[in-house]
Amino acid sequence: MHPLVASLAVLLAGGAVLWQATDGFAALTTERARRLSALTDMPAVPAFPVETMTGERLLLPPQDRKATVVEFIYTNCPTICQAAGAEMARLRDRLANEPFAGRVRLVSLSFDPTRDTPGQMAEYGRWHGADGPIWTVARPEDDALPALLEAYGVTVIPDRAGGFTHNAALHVVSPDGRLTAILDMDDIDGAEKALERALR
Amino acid sequence: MNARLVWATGLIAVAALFRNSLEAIPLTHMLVQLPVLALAGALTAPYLRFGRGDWNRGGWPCLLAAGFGIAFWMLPRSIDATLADIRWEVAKFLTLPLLVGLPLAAGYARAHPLTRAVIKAQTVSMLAVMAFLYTHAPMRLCNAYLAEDQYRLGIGFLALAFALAAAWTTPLLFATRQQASGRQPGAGGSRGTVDDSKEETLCVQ
Repeated sequence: MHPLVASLAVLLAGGAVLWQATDGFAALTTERARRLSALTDMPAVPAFPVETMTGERLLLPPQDRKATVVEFIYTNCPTICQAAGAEMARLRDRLANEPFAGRVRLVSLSFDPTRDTPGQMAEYGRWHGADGPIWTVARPEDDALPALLEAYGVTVIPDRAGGFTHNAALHVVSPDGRLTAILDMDDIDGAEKALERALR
Repeated sequence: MNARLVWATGLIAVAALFRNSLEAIPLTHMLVQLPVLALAGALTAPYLRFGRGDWNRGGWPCLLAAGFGIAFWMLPRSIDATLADIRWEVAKFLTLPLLVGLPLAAGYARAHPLTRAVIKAQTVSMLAVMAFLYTHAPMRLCNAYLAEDQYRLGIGFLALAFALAAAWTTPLLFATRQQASGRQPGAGGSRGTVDDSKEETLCVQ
């Protein structure tokens, strides 16, 4: 075989592999890839049993024809989650208006269920203004946490200071239980647009 | 058993046995474990007599294959995947020796001195770009690693860039014109044969 032919074959094969591995050079990181997948594939997320800050047990996403915005937190989080809580409060205020009123639920989900008891979650909820009906704080029941994190594509790692680091984001779930968008925590406008799309 | 095979097996065993500690931070994952696996493949190239046919004249097909392999394993999502999925981990242990180290050695051995020089220059500049990227990226590039460790990896890339630049330029300070011209391309064997020596060409004209 001529070296040029062999080189061209390698170029084609290598290019195809890289194209495949990066979703057409659109996603070089896991975070980008999962956000892209939410927009294009809209994967169904299984319903997981959770316990809320009032001790109520419900399924996440809830089976009540509402869209859901899920963020992941742990209540001992010193800095970033406090900012995230403020963003969620902003989002809650926006969702009180049409066309969202009564059609969207916000859930701050703890990935630290052993420390985040209902009492602890209620404290966090009070601090940030989570009212309950629209915005609640919850933790997964039983051993559902790993499967839940996997389903949403969230990776939690210890941060060497006793806390955690994770790929924080707003996860928009449509009324029929599909993950339709993943957005930056402060992208409130984007969340509104994604919710309009999810509720259509 | 061939000494090269023993070394290669030993390197893969080290990469596997110390897997957990090597993969605990990106610095040792990217700059120790991955190169060790590639080196294991590179060591087997002469033993396997790989890449000696005419198809590999100039080393281009092999160097391109190695380039794609390196690009693939520099994707942050590939690194994340190896930590989340054992199938990706197995793929890493197979492809780095066979699709990066082996073709890199088989390609480099037959590359023109000019090609080699370009590869070296590219390596240093690419490492410098990676260093900038990993020290300045405003977000985490791997979901499985902390931002502070990402920064340290960037410093590691920078250190490696300086080390390689020093290692490759220092001999030039002591090279004479005589030595350089004695190793002109074309003197190193005819078509289809391979210059097996690991000697570096000091000066390219």
